[in-house]
Amino acid sequence: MKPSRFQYTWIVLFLIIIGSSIHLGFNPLSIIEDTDNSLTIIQELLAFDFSVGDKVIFSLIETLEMALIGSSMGFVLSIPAALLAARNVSPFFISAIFRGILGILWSMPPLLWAILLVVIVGLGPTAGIFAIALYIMGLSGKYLYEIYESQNHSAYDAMHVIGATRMQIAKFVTIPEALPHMSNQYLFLLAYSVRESSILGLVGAGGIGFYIIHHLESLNYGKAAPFILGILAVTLGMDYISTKLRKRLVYH
Amino acid sequence: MSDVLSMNQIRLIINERKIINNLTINVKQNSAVTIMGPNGAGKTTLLKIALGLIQPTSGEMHLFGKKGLDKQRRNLLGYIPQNLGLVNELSVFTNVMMGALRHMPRWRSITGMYPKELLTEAYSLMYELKITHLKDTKIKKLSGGEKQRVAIARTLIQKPAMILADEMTASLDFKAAVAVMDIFAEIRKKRGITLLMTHHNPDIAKMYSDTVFIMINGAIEKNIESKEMSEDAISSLYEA
Repeated sequence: MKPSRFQYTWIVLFLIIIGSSIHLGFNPLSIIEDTDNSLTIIQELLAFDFSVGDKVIFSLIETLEMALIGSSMGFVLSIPAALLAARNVSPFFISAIFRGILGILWSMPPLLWAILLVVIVGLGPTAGIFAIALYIMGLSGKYLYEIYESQNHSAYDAMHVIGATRMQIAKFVTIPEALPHMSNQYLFLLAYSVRESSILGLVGAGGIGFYIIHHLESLNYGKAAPFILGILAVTLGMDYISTKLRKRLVYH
Repeated sequence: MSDVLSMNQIRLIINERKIINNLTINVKQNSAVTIMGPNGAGKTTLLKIALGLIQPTSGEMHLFGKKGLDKQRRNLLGYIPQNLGLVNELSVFTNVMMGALRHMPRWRSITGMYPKELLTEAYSLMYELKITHLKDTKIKKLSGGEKQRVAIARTLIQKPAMILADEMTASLDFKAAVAVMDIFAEIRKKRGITLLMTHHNPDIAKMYSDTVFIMINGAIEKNIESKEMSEDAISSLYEA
């Protein structure tokens, strides 16, 4: 029997994966080949050294604060930026410019933004906050302008007939209609930012990641473990709270 | 009586498809006209052309005795779109005030400091349409009939000389539609507003309009005085 187009697609995809693995010299068995070494690291990680407890608490608070400030800044900036990027609200050339800006902000991961910002503003959480804010502005902006553009056209038609200006349309139609999505989106982005903030310390942009990389590089796995455990607990906790709150928003 | 709206040989062609095909229609001042026709006949497009939301490929349109559509004459038009075009997340009061945007300075609309005379007008309309008790309720919490009344109030506060309504009671059962249309017809007559509406229900068309136009494939096929309308007459017009 001749394979279908769908089956061909999967066969081609499978061959690309095999080809890429060969190209990179990737061996999936390597993770179990050096079993002794892996077991030693796991054992050392499990021997939690809680003498760093105060630093865990401090760095978790810092990470949460970075996420809160960064995601809030990015989210607030994304609201007008998305209005300027939405084709049903802005003139074509302005919309094209802002779509480009949001695309650039979104396509660079926060870690890359952090590397750049550490050079500009120096080591510490300020670079991390800006990195999160820029990325969230891009991500949230892209999502928001798609929401704006998919809104009920008849409300826009009614406003055009009334002779409303773009600002009046934004105030009376675009933003109010997007509000339920916005609250939902903000909570999701906040939880997401906590996860992202936890790794920005790897490049010196503040947060718990700094301590994790410091202890791992010093081969103090026992000291790294409480930080890893802390970030796991906070990330899962934030995800749980955010999901609960979002469900409540959907029903109200 | 003079024609408020006169469309002559209007054509709209999109991707080589004739959406509106040599359409000619005249609507007299103070009259109520219904356009009926199957889905896809071009009824909504016809209203949008009259409102200036869509530019026709060719043809001539006269509105209030003048050719074309400028801002001044557009301000005399009110529009109730299909699905009503209300903003679900805003209150009844704010939705009504949205209709008055053209009658106030921009800064007032943005700050929400509405002029006193417009506030009086809004409350008077909400009273007439029996929605005063709902003024702070969000649109998403209203019934279909209540939403229709808000849409009517939002249109009337514009002080239009002509209202174009697109299947405004389509989502209501007959009894609810009649309840809304009774109030609307009374206010319309009192204020001398011309009405051009599209509708699917021949009974509503007969009860609330003077003339019914039948539109098929982007053109007006026939017109009939609503007094002379019977179900057989409508069916035969559709078949024509």
